[in-house]
Amino acid sequence: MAQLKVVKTALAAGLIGAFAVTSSGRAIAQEAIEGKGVEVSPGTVLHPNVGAELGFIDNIFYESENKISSGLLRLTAKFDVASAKIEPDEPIPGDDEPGNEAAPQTFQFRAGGGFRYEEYLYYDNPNASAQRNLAFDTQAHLQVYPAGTWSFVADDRLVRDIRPRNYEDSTSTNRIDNLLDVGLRFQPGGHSISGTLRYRNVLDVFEGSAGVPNRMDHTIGLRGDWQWLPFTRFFADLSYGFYGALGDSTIGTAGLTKHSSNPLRGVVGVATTLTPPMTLKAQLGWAWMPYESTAGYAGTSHNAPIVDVEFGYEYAPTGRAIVEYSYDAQDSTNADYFRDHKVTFRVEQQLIDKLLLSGSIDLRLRGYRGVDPILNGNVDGMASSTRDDFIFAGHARAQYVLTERYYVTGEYTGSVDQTDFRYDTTSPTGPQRMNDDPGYVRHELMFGARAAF
Amino acid sequence: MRQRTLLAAILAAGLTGGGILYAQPAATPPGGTTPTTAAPVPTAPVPTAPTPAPLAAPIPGDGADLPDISLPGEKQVTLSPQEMSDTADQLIKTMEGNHRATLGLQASAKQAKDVIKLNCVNENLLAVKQLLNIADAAKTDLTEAKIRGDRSEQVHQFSQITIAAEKSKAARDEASACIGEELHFVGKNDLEVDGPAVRNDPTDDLDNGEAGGEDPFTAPLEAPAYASPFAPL
Repeated sequence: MAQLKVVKTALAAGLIGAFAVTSSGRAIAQEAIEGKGVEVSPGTVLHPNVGAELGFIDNIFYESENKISSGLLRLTAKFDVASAKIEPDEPIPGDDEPGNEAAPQTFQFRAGGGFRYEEYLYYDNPNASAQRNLAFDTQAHLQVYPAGTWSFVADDRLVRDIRPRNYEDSTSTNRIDNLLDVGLRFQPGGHSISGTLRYRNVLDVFEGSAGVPNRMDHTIGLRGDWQWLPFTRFFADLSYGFYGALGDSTIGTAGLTKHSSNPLRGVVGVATTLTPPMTLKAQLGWAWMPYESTAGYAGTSHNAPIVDVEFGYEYAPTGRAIVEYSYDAQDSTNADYFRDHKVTFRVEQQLIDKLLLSGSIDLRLRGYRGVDPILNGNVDGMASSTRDDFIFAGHARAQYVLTERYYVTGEYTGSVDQTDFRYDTTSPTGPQRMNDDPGYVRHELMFGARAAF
Repeated sequence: MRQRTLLAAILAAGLTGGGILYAQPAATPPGGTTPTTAAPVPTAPVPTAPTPAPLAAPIPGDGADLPDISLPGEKQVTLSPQEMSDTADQLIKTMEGNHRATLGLQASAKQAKDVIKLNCVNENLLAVKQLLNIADAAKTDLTEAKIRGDRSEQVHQFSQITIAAEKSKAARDEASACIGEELHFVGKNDLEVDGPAVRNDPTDDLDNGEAGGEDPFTAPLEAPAYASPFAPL
């Protein structure tokens, strides 16, 4: 019966997603227009972008029943800044002669980010209106001696993620997440072959009483790249991690416990253009992620292959479709780890000069392993430390350019999470929940206008 | 059955490999990254020289700087001596017309102060002039041979006039096709092409080699999946 419900929900969501894809499109990373920007220093230009959106969410608190809906006002401000090489208007005579070439760039730098303020308009429900919050997502990239034999590369992403609780409450689950990647790259000769010794640090800090331990993951890795042809690259990566809690692995006596792990991963892959309109990316490897055992808890272990295949087809000069399958595992905040069978379909289409449509469908069969016993998890009444989810997400976006600077957007996001896993919990402010279903169906529809300066 | 499968696999591998190689641009750029192919565009005028005629003995009365003009071979002639004489007169008149037309092109280029076009026309005009001289001399020799009754000499001189007329027409056509400055010299051009028309370079993607095939710098964070905060029951 539960399976039938899952299938029905999936079909309904699939129809919604398919309609969304064919009728409008998916949100894309880049904005279609960019203003002239503001020069903050010679060769460095700041590109601000502000916008306002008004819309509707039908399930604020990710509930499987008794959903709370609300109108939503979203204000966003984005910026991008980059260093640019200052080039003279006229070439200097003899500049291109041997020995007179322009000096190579010492460094490349770029940064960008955005702030998002959300105001829930259901003022009759104080729990809903209390979800107003501010989020941000910023990134920076630095490469020193990009053309040198030795080069230093650093990337950082700092995010404040805001999210209503998984039950009706006036508080939110907010966290700060920082991802730092640094690497020393050796790229001799024509740079077609390079090796990078890298280090990655992931910091996940929850604000307030989320009941989830903070995480600090370190990973060291060695990566090799070989640009065989202009549009064909082979790569290999071997990494070893030191994953664990930041501070105490358990929040008091009531939170989840974070078990440490030393995952070992290795992949080899290729990214190539099969023919000018067709692209193929594939990677194969193996992941071994053993989690520590503690008193009363037998640690889990993921020992399985890594598979990822992505095929892209440019069916028209202004349209491209991508389909991808992936099987992989990652460290989790909700269990020891989760592994996904992921199938993604994305399409981007520009109909006319001023209208850009994009859409995506994301299907995942997710398995959480090592679910904390404190949750009293069960599947069909049998105690279980594993949880399997069917996750479906459809995303569609339409963008229409009004003038050189202003444009309007319409965006739909639908998500479905279905599982036969049930658990018991309560909260200091919320009701006691026995055999709670963590699944949900959620729709969000937003319309807005943006301006690029 | 296994052989079929093997053959099919070899065929598929061959097609895939061929497709990959076909999809690449012709040359691998230094640096191994996305190629930047600068399209070579001339920044200075390069006049098109007319096709030189085969070497031959210099024309009497012409300077050493003039192009050498020759008339190789003879044509099979079945005309009577009078018919050859009449046809030769017509051909020479046509060549004189070619000369006038080329002079007109020269005047036009001078008026337009188009040096490039004028150089090109002048070279062809010299050829037309020399060919006309050759034809005139051959006509004189043809008349003398006719008086002597020397059939082979008549045929030889008539052939010279015929070939000169053909070459004269070609030189006039070439002068007409001379390209002027307005088309030939397009000025300084800084056109740069960022590689061939492959808009979606998969080697640039930042998810290559990443967990789940997702770029960690754009991927969403894993959502909390439980109704936290927790309190023990």
